[in-house]
Amino acid sequence: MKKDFNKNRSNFNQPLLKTPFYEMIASEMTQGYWDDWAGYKAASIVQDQELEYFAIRSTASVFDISPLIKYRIKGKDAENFLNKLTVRNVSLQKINTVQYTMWCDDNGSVLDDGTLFKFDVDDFRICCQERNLPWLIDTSLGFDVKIIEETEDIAGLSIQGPTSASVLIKAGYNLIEKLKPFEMIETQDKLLISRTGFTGDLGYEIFLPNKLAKITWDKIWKAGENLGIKAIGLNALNIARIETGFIIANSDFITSEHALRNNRIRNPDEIGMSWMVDMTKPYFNGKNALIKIRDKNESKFVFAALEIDGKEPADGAIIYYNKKQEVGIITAATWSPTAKKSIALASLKLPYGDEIQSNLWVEIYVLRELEYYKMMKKVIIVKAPFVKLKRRNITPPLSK
Amino acid sequence: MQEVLMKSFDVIVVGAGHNGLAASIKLAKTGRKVLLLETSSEPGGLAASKEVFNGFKTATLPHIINQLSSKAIRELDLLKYGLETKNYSIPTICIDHSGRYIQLSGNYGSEIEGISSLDQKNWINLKKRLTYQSSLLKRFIYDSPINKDNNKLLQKLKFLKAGIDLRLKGREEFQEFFRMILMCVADVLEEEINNDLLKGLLSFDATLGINLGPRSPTSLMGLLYKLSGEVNGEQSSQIFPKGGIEKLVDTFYKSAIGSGVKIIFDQEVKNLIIENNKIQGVKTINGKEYRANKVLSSVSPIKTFFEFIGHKKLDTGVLRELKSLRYKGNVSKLNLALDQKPVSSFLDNQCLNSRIVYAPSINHVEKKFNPSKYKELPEDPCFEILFPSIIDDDLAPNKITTASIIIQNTPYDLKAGWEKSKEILYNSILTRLDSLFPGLKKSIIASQFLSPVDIESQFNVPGGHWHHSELQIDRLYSLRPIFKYSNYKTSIKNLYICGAGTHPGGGISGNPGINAANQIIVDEK
Repeated sequence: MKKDFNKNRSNFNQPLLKTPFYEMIASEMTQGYWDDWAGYKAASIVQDQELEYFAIRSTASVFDISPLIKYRIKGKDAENFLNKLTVRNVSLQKINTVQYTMWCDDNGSVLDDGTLFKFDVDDFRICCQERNLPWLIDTSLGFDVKIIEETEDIAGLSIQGPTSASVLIKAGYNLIEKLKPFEMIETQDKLLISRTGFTGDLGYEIFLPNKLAKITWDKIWKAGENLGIKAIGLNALNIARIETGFIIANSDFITSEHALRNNRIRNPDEIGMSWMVDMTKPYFNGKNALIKIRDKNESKFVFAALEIDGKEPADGAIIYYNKKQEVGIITAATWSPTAKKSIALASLKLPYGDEIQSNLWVEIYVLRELEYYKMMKKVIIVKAPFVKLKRRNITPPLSK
Repeated sequence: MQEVLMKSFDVIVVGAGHNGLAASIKLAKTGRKVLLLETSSEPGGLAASKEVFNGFKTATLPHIINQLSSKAIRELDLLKYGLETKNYSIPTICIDHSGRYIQLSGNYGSEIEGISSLDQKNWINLKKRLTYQSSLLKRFIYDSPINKDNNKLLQKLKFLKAGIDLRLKGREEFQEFFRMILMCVADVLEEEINNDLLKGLLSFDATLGINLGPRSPTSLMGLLYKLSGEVNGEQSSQIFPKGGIEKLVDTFYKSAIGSGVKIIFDQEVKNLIIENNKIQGVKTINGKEYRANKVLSSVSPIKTFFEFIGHKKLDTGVLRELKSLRYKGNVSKLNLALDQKPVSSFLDNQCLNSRIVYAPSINHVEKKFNPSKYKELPEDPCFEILFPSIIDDDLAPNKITTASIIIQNTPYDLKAGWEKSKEILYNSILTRLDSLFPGLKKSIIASQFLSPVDIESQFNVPGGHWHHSELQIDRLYSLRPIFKYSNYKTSIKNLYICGAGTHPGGGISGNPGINAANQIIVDEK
C-alpha cells in the first residue's frame, strides 16, 4: 500500500503525470515541448505552433484538456449549494447546459473561475483551473450534497475549428448537430459532448471515462483524416483564446488564495466580469462584500483589451500614461494572425482604462541578434473579442 | 398559526443570562425599548437557579464571583437592588489526601497559613508581579476590541501607553512580562514557590474551566485572568455574595425590570429573521415573530451562528473560523444536600466557610489533566467544594447542608460516553470527599450531577462550556470569538453579539454585555 502511495503521490520528485491521451499526443510530437499543467504533462507545441493555430481557425484542432480540475456535485441541495458558491444564478441555468462562472471569498475577491455543467437540478460538474476541494467542502456545510473529486477519473478532449462538427459527425456523433453553444449531450457510449471551448471558434469538448480515451481518440482521428485534423499544444490555444478575450486564473489575474500581496487580489469587476455577478440572488459567498465594494466604489483596477501599434508582441509590458506614469501591465499578448494586429489583455489602475482611455503607451523591448530595441507603442482600448466568428454561434453548425 | 408582533422595540436581546441582563439594563437606561427573550423560565443563564431537590432551588453551576467590578455594579445599579458583596470575601483552603492543608485569606492569599515564611514572602512578591501584569491586560477589559472595523487611533494609543507604562516600571519588569506572558503556570511556580499545596492550588485555579494543564504553554494566562478580576473595587478578591449567586442574579433581574426592560420567559428563539443581510427580528420555536431593528444575542456564538442563522447563510471564510472554535467544556458540577453538617478530621469547623480545593501538587493537577486529552476521565480528579448553606444559613431549609462541587478535567466528548461514566466519576469524588469529611457520603439525601453534556442540554450552551468557547490566548480580545466579530458586531447588519463567547469572556462580570451595549450606543450616535 505504502509503495503505491509513494509512486502515485509524491510528484515533487517524480515525472509529471501522464493523461490518458499522453501516448497519442506523444506519437504526434516532433520536438518534445512539454509543459506542466496542474501536475500533468501537457504539450506546449506538438509540431508547429503556427500550423496548430491555423488548424484551430481553418480546419480542426484536437487539444487534451484532461488536466482540468473536475468536481462532481450531487445531492438534493446541489443547486442551492452552487448558488451559494458561485456568483451566477444556477437556478436560471437550463438542464444540459454549461455556464462560465466564478466564485469569490468573503471579501468578494475571485478564488477561481470555471465552467459549470448542469446534468440535472441535483447533479453538476465543475471544471476549473485550481484545486478547490477544501473550499467546496467548507462551503457545503449545512447542504445535503456530495462533492466528488474526479480529476483523475475523467479525461477530456477539445475539438475546435470550422471542421470540428464534421469530424464528430463523421465519427458517428450525429447528435451534436442540434447542439447550440453551451448545450451538452450525453452519447450512448457515455461520452459527454458540449458545444464549448476556449477558442471562440466552432468547437466541442468531450468528457469521458479514462478507459474510453484510446478508442475515442482513434475514432475521431480517423474521422478527421481528410478534414485537416491536427493535435495542438497550449501555445496555439493561447493565441486563439487571447483573440477571443478569454482570461486564465493565475495568468491574467491572481486568485485570492494564491496572492501573497494584498493588492494583487481582484474582485469580479476588476477583471471585467461584472456582467456575471447576479446581485438579484438572495445570497452568495462574497455578495455582501461586493455590495459594499460597489456602493463605495472601492474597485481599484479595470481589465481591458488592447490593440497595439506595430507587430511586436507585448507580453508582460508595462503600460504608461503620457509615456511616463506607470498605470498597468499586459497580462497576455500576441500577434493575431486572424485580426492581423498586435493584441493584448491588460490590467490597468483606475481611472486609466476607464475614464482615461487616451495617451496610453506600452514599452516593448525586442531582442534582435543580441541587441535590444526599446520602443514606445501607442495602445488603444477596444472591446473584446478581437476576432468574432459567425460560425461559433450558428446552429446547425454546418449551415451557411 | 403565525403571530407577528409589531416593531415596538428598539432592541431585542436574546438570552437572559447575566450578560444579556447587563446589556439590556445598559440599553434600557439610555431610553431604548428593550425586549429580552429567554428560553427557560428563570433569569441567569448558566448562573440560573434550578431545582436541586424537593422544591429546593439554588444556583446550580457557579458558586463564587471574582470578576464583578465596581464599574459594572454602578452602571447596572446592582446596589440599589440589594447586592451585598462588602465583607463577604471567603478564604480558600487547599488540601491533599493526607489532610495537609494551607489556607489563603484576604485577597487571594494576602495571608497564608500553613506555609513557610520564605514561601509567604515569595508568594507576596510573585503575586505582586502577576497582579501588575494582569492589570496591564485589565486596561482593555472595558473596550470594544480593535479589529478591521474598529481601529480608532485613540484605542491604538492605549496599547502604546500600556507599553510605555510597562517600560517605565523598569527593565526587569519589562523583560519579565514578555518572558512570562506565554509561559506555563507550572514553570513560573517552580521558579518561585516551594510549597506543593500552594503550587497545586495555583495550578488548579489557572486551568479550571479551560482545556490546559499546568504544564501546557500559556497556562499562566489563566491565573492572570483570575487575578485581573475585582469585586467591588477589591482586586483579586473572591466573594460569596450575601444570599448566594441566586441573590446576585436576582439583583440583575430586578435592575432590568426596574430600568424598563420587558422580559419574556419560555421563548426559545429558533432563528433570526434576516432580510437583505439586515436583521429584522427573531422567530421563536412556537412560531412567534418579534421584530426590531437591532438584535443582540448573548448566547454562545456557536448557537447564534450555526443554529439561529445556519451554515448556509454564512460566508465560507467566517464559517471556517467559527468551525474552529473549541467549545467543548470539561467542567462538571455536583450539588449535594446533606442531612448533617460535614465534619472534617483535618479542618476545624471554621474552615467550612471556605472554598476548599483538592489539588495536592502541580503533578497531581497535570496528571488529572492528561486523560482528558484522550477523552478519558481522571481517577481521583481535582475539584473545589463550597458549602453555601454553612457560609450563609439562610440558603437552605432547616438543618440541611448544601455542598457545591466543581470538578475539573471531565471532557464533554468522553470516549466511553457519559451514560456509563457519570456513576464512576460520582463515586470517585465521593470516595475522596468521604476521606476528607468522614461520614459525608452517608449524610447525602439528594444529589444532582451535571456533566458538560447535561449542562449543554439544560442550559442551552453547545458543548456545555462555561466560557461558551475556550478562553485561551488565541481567543482573547480581538480574536474573541473571531477577529471579524470581536467588536460585538457581525457581518449581518444590526446583529450584535455578547456573552461569555465574546471579549473579555466568562465569569460573572457583566462586561461582555456592557461592552456590547456601549458598541450599539456608539454606533447609533
